[in-house]
Amino acid sequence: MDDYILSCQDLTVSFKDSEPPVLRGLTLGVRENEFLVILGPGQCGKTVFLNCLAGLQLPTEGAVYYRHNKVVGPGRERGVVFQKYALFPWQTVLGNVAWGLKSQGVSKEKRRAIALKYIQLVGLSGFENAYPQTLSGGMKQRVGLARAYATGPKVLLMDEPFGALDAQTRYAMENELLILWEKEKRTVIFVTNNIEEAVFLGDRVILMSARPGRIKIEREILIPHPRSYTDPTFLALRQEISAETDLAL
Amino acid sequence: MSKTDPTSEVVGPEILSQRMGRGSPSPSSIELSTSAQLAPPKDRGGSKSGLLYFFHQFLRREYLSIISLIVFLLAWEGVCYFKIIGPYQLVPPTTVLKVFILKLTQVNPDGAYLWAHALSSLGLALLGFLGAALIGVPLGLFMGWYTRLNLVVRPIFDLIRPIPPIAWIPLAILWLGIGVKAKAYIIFLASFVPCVINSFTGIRLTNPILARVARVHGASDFTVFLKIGLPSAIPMIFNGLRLSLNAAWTTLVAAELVAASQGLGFMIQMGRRLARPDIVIVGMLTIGVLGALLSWGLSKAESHFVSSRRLT
Repeated sequence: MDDYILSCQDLTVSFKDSEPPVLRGLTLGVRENEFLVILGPGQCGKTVFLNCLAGLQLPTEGAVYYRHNKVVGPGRERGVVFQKYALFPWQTVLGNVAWGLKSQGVSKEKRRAIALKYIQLVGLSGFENAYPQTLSGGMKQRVGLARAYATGPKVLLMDEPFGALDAQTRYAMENELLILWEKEKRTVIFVTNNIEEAVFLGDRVILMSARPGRIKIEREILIPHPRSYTDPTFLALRQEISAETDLAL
Repeated sequence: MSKTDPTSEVVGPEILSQRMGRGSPSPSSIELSTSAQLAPPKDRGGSKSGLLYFFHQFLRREYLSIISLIVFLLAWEGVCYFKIIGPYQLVPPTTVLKVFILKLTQVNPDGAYLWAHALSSLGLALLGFLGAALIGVPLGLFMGWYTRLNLVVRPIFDLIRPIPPIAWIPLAILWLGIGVKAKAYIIFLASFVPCVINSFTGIRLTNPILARVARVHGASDFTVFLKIGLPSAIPMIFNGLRLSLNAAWTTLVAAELVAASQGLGFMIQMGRRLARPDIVIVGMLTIGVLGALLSWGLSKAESHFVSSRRLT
């Protein structure tokens, strides 16, 4: 566990004693600045797993460690990008991005400077004072990304961030995310149910099975970026993973 | 435009006279809107033409309502003129207007000027309403956020809630006498309930994911309440305030039946005793107009807080 930034040991989560656990005996280590993708069908406990890593859900058994410290709640070193944007509708783009900084007690000018920097990085310059519902889905999730980045976490947890986007926007956002990640390296744990997305983005892909949620297979993806959907190695990997999945294709 | 053609026949004279006043030769509304773009009211030189322009736009938007009002008033006047309803039951609008103006400078027959009655009533309603808002809104919010508080307060609240405020009048008199306090208390009770219920529901509607976002950023439970719960509840809070204001204003007359010597409710009561339908109607209409003004004021305050940006 020594060189892992975030790890979990024998993680088990069950909500009802009568039902099989949602997650059973998950052990996983994430290296610093790794782009790890957790792939799995719906209802396999991916979100629960991510919530455990974020500290929003406490495990029934086992534990999550950030470096050597046991995770007992949310922490600033772990930022989250939520499914379906989860922006504050009463705040502007700037207000949303600066929100976490405000709760950390950063001064107003500094907050603004940091927020503007990340708004610019995700390509939303000029929309600082727009309210979320005037933005498109892709733009909303850019705000979500900027908000997660702004507080300067070491680990970014992303829960199907592009799941609500249409295919084209999704593809564009995947590229944008990689560009952002190259500019500002962070450890990313990215949850998705989309095999192409997993192989396109990840340094490593963890495939989960459902009921109970367990790690089924694990693959390092060594194809250099930018990856192409039609690259033979890409297709072979996609084929291999999809053969192992319970996903309906 | 063909859709409005049949109705434009009806309002033809009015609109035409307006157009002639502006000196615009074309009757087509397309022409009108372009001329409006070219020359906005500010730049039209004299303020008179600006005012005319504004009036014209107002007529264009509201002509159906204006016609409706005029027809109503004419029908009312007619009913009185042809003695369908006798002068001791109903007076025509022209008389109402006369009495209204007269009552501004005259204390007869009910003992006070109209504006004194209105101010007294307004003060009373606002006192009860503001008290209810100041206590009810925070109570509802806290009940919605903290389950335990809800469990403690809920049974008592549910027991008191269905009791009509008017049923409190005897107790209110026994406890607080026949002065302002008893009346304010009854109005307070009437407007308290919607404040609590709507604030409660509002904060319950807080999107749990937004609360999670805040928690990820290290916010404490109270911070989440304040920064996420409260803004989420704002639309429902205003909904509650509007209902409360209505309740306060409608309970007012009943409250003023309690040994009052001033107030619009008292004025109406005096009108009945003296068989003066004109006084009764002036009192009723004043209540109506003031109530509408208060609601309008609240809507203005709401739109300050809740602009279109909140529609998500």
